Amino acid sequence: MSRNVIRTAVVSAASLALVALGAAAPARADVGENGTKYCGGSTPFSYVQFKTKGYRSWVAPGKGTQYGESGSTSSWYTGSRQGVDGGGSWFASGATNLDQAYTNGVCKNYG
Amino acid sequence: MRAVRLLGVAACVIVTGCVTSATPSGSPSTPSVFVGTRTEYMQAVVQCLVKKGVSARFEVAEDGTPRVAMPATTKAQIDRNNAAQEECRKELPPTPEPTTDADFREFYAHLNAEAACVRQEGYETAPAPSFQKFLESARGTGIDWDPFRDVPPQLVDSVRAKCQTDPNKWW
Repeated sequence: MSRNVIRTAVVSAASLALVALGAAAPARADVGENGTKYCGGSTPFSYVQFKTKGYRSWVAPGKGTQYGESGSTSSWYTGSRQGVDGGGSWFASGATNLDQAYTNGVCKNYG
Repeated sequence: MRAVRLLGVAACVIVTGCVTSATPSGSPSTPSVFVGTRTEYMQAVVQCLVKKGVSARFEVAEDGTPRVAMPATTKAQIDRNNAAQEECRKELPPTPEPTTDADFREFYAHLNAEAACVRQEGYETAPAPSFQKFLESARGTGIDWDPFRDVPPQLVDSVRAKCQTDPNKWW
């Protein structure tokens, strides 16, 4: 398994969490707390996965739309969103609750 | 995550969200929460984002989950979206959370039903914790029993669409 941290992203004053992980083949999660993390770089990925509590937001690999959903702060949510292979620069992000939420994000390829 | 309390929803004004309090006004120690459906909450988020200049729109995901969609073609745009979402989340009343043992018991039953569906679809799912352990985690670090967690990532969206019950009821 190879893994490269591609880009650690901006942590805003609003405490958004950002997951920045890149790898050619399955990558492991870079655990972040209360912020936003990004996956990006030149390595294409198909999926972004995240585990969050609270409000969550993501952009699937190679997609141009970001989504946001409400979520409970008392329960973990496991999300997996498929994007497109071969995207140049793309991102995964999780916006989480300030007080007690965490987000883990990882970008993976399968198959 | 809890069942949304629907009483009084009809009277709510979506634009600002509805706020309720368990005690009469003037009790600053009682937090107010959003009263309305999850859909109405996300519609309120969309309106807030639009006011902040984000080209946000409301939509319902394939699995029935209400959500907001925004253009995100650059990192700078994602940063702006994230900041605006966080601002809106702070400006809106907090979303309702389970508080009583009865709330958590209802949620526990809901997750058990979803887990049964996941197994029926042919996928493994982690065994249910005892209710006591479930309650302890709910009041501690968070419930970490997600019936969909062990479904292959390539399939989790479709399985969730089949097995997720009433995404507008559970936050």
